[in-house]
Amino acid sequence: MRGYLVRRLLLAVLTLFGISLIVAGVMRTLPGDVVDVLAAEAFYNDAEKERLREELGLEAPFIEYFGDWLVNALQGDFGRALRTQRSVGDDLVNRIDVTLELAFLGLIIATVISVPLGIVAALQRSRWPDYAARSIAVFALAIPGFWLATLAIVFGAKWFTWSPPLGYQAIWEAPLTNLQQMWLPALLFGLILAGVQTRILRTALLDVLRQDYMLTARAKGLSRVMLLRRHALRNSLIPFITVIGVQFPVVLGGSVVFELIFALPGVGIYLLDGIANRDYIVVQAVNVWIAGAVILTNLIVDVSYGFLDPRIRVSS
Amino acid sequence: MASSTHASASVAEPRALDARRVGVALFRVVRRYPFPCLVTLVLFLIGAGSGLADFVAPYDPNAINPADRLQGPNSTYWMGTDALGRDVFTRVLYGGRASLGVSVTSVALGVVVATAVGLVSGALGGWFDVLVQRIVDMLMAFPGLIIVISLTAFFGTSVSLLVVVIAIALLGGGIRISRAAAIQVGSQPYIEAARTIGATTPRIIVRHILPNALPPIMVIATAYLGVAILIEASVSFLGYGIQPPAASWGFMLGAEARIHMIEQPWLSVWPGLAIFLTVFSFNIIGDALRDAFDPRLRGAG
Repeated sequence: MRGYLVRRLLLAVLTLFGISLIVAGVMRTLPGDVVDVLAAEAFYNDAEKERLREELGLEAPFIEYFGDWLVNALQGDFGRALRTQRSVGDDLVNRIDVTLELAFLGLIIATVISVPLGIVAALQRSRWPDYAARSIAVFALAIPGFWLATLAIVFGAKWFTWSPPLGYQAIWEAPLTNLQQMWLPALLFGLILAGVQTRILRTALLDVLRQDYMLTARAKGLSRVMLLRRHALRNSLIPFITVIGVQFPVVLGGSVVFELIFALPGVGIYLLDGIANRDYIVVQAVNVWIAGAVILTNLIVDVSYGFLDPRIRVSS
Repeated sequence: MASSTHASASVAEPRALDARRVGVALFRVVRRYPFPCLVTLVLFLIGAGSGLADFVAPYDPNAINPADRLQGPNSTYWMGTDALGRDVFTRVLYGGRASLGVSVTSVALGVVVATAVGLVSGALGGWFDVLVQRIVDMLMAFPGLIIVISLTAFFGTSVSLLVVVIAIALLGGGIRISRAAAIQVGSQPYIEAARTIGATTPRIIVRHILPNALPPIMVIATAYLGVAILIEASVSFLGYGIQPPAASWGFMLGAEARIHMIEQPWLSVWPGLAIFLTVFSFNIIGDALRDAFDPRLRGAG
């Protein structure tokens, strides 16, 4: 188990390092003189331009530039946003809770929807509950999140004269207002995410149900409920946890759109603002953070395999 | 096939011209898989309407007509008009041409590159395989939408760039699938047999592994068509995809359009419905293909 953990951790660090290198490399190959573009956007004068050029280390060779960036980033310093001159690291810390809350609520709602649907579909295979559950899943898979959110806003305003409250409140400042703002985006997000989860859980359960040990357990007289609880659900946990790991990037990507439509000041909006201002310091930092979050999730998923399935622990 | 006389008679005739035979085969497929066939028909209509938009569309997509602005669906404007009085049905058709064009091209590009890299990596193994796996890990750490908006925002918003960037977003998963297929096929006895009679590695990859690894790749390609449509629509929705005044499904639902949707809610319905129907159809066809190629998985998802 220890060797397994160490190996996974090393791979994660290596991947994150590679990603930082690639992101920095892409940013350095931007067409034209970056400083001119940035300075024009931020209305800098010549002296400020010189300072910027020096601060970004654009004159230095790439290795030196990347080394500096990496050393600073490891200390939590991701540079300053070009327009606001605020610390990008601090900005991200202030915004990450919005995105994480949305992602977390969305995943919980998706799980609440998909677990019963998946179980019913697998147990009632090829009967109408199965077809119904699968249809819901395929529908959810094909609906663009931003369309669902747009419809909710448009028809909410039209039919119920309801619109999402403006002025975001953090959950620890005003929990009630926060939930008033969050429930709808989280619900819609959860509906979208439930599609993939239902499909994976159903497939995983069907795989387990056709195993020989299920027949043995049934033969020794275990009730159907016990069979499901003790054998089937537990053994289908691994693919199900995998899907949450696989979905995490989708969740973070999808969050951008929901944050925009519901005016939630999360990391997604920060990225959009950074892109609109052509602030490549912000874009670089957000990309590395998002990739880091995905890698961390996958690491947690991999480690939880070791806990859930002793075979994985032993074989590696 | 009915009887042996019938079969022998058809040998003499040119088979390709036997319309009745084709009709019977088609009828059988339709009766056996009614839903995937219906969905294929829907997709065909969307594709034909969009591809032939120049001939099919009732109006000029950019013709501004303020007198008729923000109408609901009626007999003159089947899907109503937008804030500039442009015909929404026409714009949905042209938007489909842009969306389908971008997604089909980017999926073709992404899947061809991913297949080449994945097959070679899976067949060769060794240091190349390790390298490719690390690159895939990195690609998979970026949400597709994030890669696409970050890159298009900096490198400009041309259509060809959009295609390349969406293809990059699809690479990671594609390489993973084709590599797994190559490893699975590579362990078969006939590959060993081919090696024994002296076939070179490139020959084995092209002649033996590629054809046998194609089914899972075709399934993922079909699923990716839906994914690419969704990415393109999201990027255009955010304003970094296909640029106005050209029509695109995503932009028609974007921030600018949303201002007028409270006044004319139909504006929020049509482009989204078009995206949904297209993605839904690709997903259903992908599932049907998977069932057809791999009967063990029939009804598995």
